[in-house]
Amino acid sequence: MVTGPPRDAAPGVTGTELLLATSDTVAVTLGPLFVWPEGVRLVLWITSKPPLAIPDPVASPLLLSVELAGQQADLSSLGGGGGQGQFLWEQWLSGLPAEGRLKLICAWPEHGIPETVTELDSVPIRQAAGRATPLWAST
Amino acid sequence: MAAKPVRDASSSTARENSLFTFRSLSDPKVKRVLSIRRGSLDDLPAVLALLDEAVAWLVAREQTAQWGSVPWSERADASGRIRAMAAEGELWLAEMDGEPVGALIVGEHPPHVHHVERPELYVNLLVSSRRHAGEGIGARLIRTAIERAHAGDAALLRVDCWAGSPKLVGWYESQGFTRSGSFELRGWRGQVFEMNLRRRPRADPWTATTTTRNRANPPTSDWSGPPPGVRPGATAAETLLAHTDDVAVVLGPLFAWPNGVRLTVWLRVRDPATAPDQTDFQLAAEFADGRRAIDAGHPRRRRPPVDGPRLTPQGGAGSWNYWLWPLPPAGPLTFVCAWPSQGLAETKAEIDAGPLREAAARAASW
Repeated sequence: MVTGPPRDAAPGVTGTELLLATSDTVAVTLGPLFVWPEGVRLVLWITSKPPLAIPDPVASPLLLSVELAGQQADLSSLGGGGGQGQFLWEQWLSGLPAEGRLKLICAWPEHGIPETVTELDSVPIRQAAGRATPLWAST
Repeated sequence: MAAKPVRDASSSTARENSLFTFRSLSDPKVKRVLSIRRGSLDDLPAVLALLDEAVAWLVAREQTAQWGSVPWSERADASGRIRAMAAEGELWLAEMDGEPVGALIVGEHPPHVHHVERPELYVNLLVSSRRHAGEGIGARLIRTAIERAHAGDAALLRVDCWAGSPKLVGWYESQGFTRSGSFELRGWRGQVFEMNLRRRPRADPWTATTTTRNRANPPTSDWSGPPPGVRPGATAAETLLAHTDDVAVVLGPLFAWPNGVRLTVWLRVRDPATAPDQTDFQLAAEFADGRRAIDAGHPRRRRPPVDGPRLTPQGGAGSWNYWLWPLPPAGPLTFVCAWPSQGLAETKAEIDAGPLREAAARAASW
């Protein structure tokens, strides 16, 4: 079972840039998606406004889930970190989304973000998966 | 910037503050002597024994999420890690009547912790004997760390701990640290703290350079990182920066602001069983106007001058992250990377700076 990005292939990339959610103090940006046939690497950038230097995604985690055709997808944290009001956080979506819309559901009650749903088209994601390339020929 | 740890362990400050007496908790009539001394690699077995004792104590309380359940002395990589930390930084031991009861290693911040543009000292390891819990050994070692930071002219002392224990987090706060960041590395959640130190009047090299050699330098906030409270624009280039039969360098996400770019590269090795030395990996960026931003590299290596473009390693979990200042001009942006220990000679790869500049223009407050 694949639990993270394949290490032997370069991903295809989408041109995603989405402001997933904001509150008075924090903003959550979703960057480009790095896609392999086995799944998708999501990169989130979290910014907080001074004087709130620490949105602290560790102590009070940002809640993120992905829904595909009404079913919750398998999402796992790849880690991340930061400080001084800027954080990078990465998630691994296991499996390639089927054709159609996928929903990103984001909530961070500690920082005033209610459940917020953002829809993504899976077509560019599936196309990016097709551009993933093996780094080395199989031996 | 990390302050160089001062290696003179025989300084009068270190000696004068190294002894004090207190009453044993188990028998208040017994006065015992706690001393702090500079350790050496010969002390590693004592450090591992203290770590083993801590793990056993945590296991007995079913708190295995912090340090697992396997004694450090039985972990294949643990001894090497502690040895490397002690060799690269400073090891200090707390002894009670000659018995090791605590250990401290200070040095540079680990790669998964975010970078700061101030001279700092980082507490890489702090452990005290659970048999002497409550006797102030940890606090005494923190005082030692503060003394060493002052001796090295650091402006900041930082440390991290497991974020899953409010009691542990609270202990560091009780020592004068404030929360300044966090990380998650392979599922282990860390809380990063900092303590601002009152600095002596001696100027650090940055200040000296800025004030005496190059008055045209932008303010610190411009070259040191993203502007506060501004969310980035984002882009990516589907680009392999370098590739050999054994290793590859993949360009990751690019987050852009009007004053620079946060970029990530992923180092890949063909044989997943190998754990290659990554400390000699180097990256540079060449702008279309001919200016070159050189990777400041490992903190112990010399940094580039501040009056040119800079590529500063940031913290990251399992990735190499950089802050590229300033925003590259329009035209080709060429990355140059090398990884000599893995046979990767200097290799160039070009991307278009246009999408980066467009992303930077989308950065905004909210």
